[in-house]
Amino acid sequence: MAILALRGVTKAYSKDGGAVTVLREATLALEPGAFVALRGPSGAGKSTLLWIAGTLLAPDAGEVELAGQRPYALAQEARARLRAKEVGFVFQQFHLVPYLDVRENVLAATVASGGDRDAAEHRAAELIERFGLTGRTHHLPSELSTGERQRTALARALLNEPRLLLADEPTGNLDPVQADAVLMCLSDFAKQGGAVLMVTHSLESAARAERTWSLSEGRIVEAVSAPAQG
Amino acid sequence: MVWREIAHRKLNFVLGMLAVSIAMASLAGAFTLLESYRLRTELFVAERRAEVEADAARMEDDVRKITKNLGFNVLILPRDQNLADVYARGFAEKTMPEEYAKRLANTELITVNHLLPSLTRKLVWEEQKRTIVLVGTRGEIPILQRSEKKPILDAVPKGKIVLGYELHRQLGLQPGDTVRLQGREFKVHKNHPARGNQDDITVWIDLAEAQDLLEMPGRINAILALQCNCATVDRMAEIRAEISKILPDTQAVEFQSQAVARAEARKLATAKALQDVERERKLQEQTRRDREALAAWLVPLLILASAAWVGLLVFGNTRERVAEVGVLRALGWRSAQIVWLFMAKALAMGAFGAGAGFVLGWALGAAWGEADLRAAFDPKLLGACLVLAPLLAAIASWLPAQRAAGQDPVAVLRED
Ligand SMILES: Nc1ncnc2c1ncn2[C@@H]1O[C@H](COP(=O)(O)OP(=O)(O)O)[C@@H](O)[C@H]1O
Ligand SMILES: [Mg+2]
Repeated sequence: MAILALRGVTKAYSKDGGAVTVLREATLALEPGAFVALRGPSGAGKSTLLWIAGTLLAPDAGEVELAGQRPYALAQEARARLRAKEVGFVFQQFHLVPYLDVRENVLAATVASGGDRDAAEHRAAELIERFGLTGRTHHLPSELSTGERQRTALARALLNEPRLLLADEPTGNLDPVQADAVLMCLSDFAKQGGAVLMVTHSLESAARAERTWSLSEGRIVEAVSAPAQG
Repeated sequence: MVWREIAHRKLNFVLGMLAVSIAMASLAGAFTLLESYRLRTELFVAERRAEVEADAARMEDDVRKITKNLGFNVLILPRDQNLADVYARGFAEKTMPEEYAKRLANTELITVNHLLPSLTRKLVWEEQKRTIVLVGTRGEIPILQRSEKKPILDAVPKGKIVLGYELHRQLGLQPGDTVRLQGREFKVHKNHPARGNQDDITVWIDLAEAQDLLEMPGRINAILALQCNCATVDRMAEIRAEISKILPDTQAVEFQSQAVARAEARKLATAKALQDVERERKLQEQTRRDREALAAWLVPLLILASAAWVGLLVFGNTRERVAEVGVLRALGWRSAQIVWLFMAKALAMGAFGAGAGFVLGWALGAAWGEADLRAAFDPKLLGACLVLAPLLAAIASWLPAQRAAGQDPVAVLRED
């Protein structure tokens, strides 16, 4: 059974009086263990799709199913709970809380899930170690390299053990070495049974995914073929 | 997390705390000051009143003792004597027979203890070329049916003279010296100390010798009735009735003894002092009321201003933390948790501001009110501050916090 399924999702933004339709009956399904790259030109609606999938933005039409639930049929608070439990977000700009250190940023996710504090602490330490941040545990985001920041964000996204990871250009601000580390983490997550939907511009990043979709005229299309690396 | 944020944006927190402190300091200060002022006024008035009352009680007691011994005094004058002249001159001009005093003494005059007839004239002392008052006096007329008492005044023996202060001082006369008055020789019997009145230029001689010297045999111009005692309240009416029965062509006036006059002056002074205390109390009460009135609008105004300020600061804080809020929403934080993030900060602002403000207001209020710091401490006031300030801060930050929690997370994340 798919962790995430979008069926006929349509989304339009009103702009200068007129409406700009960004998604047109987009349909997709992500199975556990899937690692999909989503490509498309800027302004194609990739982020919009991610937000809809991540229960942050209601579509105008179509169905969204996340972990067997219809998030947009739920009340806002219940939707937030579902999001906390099942979805991890990673952004291009990291969006770490500037006044919290690495450990505290990671633990910020547990506030939302309301889980057991000791278990969360334990898991946070584990993730920090796994992502090579042990020496940075008590550093503020401003004291970290961009790669360390993104790995911190990743650890935060994974704290509540979600089944879906949504990454919006996670390597956009990283140098190739750092990007590689992050992509490794995403790949590992998929291998352990999570589903990853990663928006990216970069062909190299997309190549690390198992499949690549592209967003064209508001629809998801399977990329014909991953361009061979020169 | 709240603490981290506070530590991260110290200025925002300190400014909020400061506003709350000022408001709470004004509240605590006003209450402390007014209370210490009230206590001080009460204490002051009570002390002053006790003082005045103690004085008054002591004086009243003195007066009671004096007047009990003295009774009161009546001056009996010829009926046709104009009283205005007596007051102007110091003695009566008209005369009456000396025999009146005896007649009075020989009737059953129950109200009078002592009767002193006298003849007084102002004259020029020929030998010394100066104006003096000459008083002819005699011992008391013994009153019928009364046992012999110690005479209240000593009579001047025949051939002797008693001199007022200015006379013996200026003439350099000592008791035993001989002096001539209108061609007659007298031996100085006694010199009076200064009395600061007509007595200082007065000479006293035997009544009969005075009558002889003034060529007014058998005449007197006043009878002083001393230590009159009456049963009724209207003592003068009683004594007048009695005297006029016996001596129809005399008049009687109350002669105020200095002791009585002083007692009355004291009574007046006491009443006035009490009035002063009362006036002082009213004045201080008015000042207190004025200050209360000032505090009544100034304190709420400051509290409102500080609440508005806290609201504004929290609003600014939410604006600063838009990205943070967006990402927390993406992490699955519920609105209530985000509201709490801001409210907790406002509550901390309120609590710390209240603590600091209370201490400040308490110290300032006590200092200004000149009260003891410990005595001015009011735990209820501290409690009120600690409840009121966080409550106000929470109310003030409610709207901005709601606004922050209600904003669309996507709007923030779109910046990617
Ligand atoms: N709130 C909005 N109002 C109007 N247009 C919007 C709004 N948000 C996004 N858009 C437009 O929708 C399109 C898709 O945006 P986005 O999902 O961010 O695309 P991508 O992430 O692929 O660059 C863009 O053309 C963008 O200008
Ligand atoms: Mg985008």
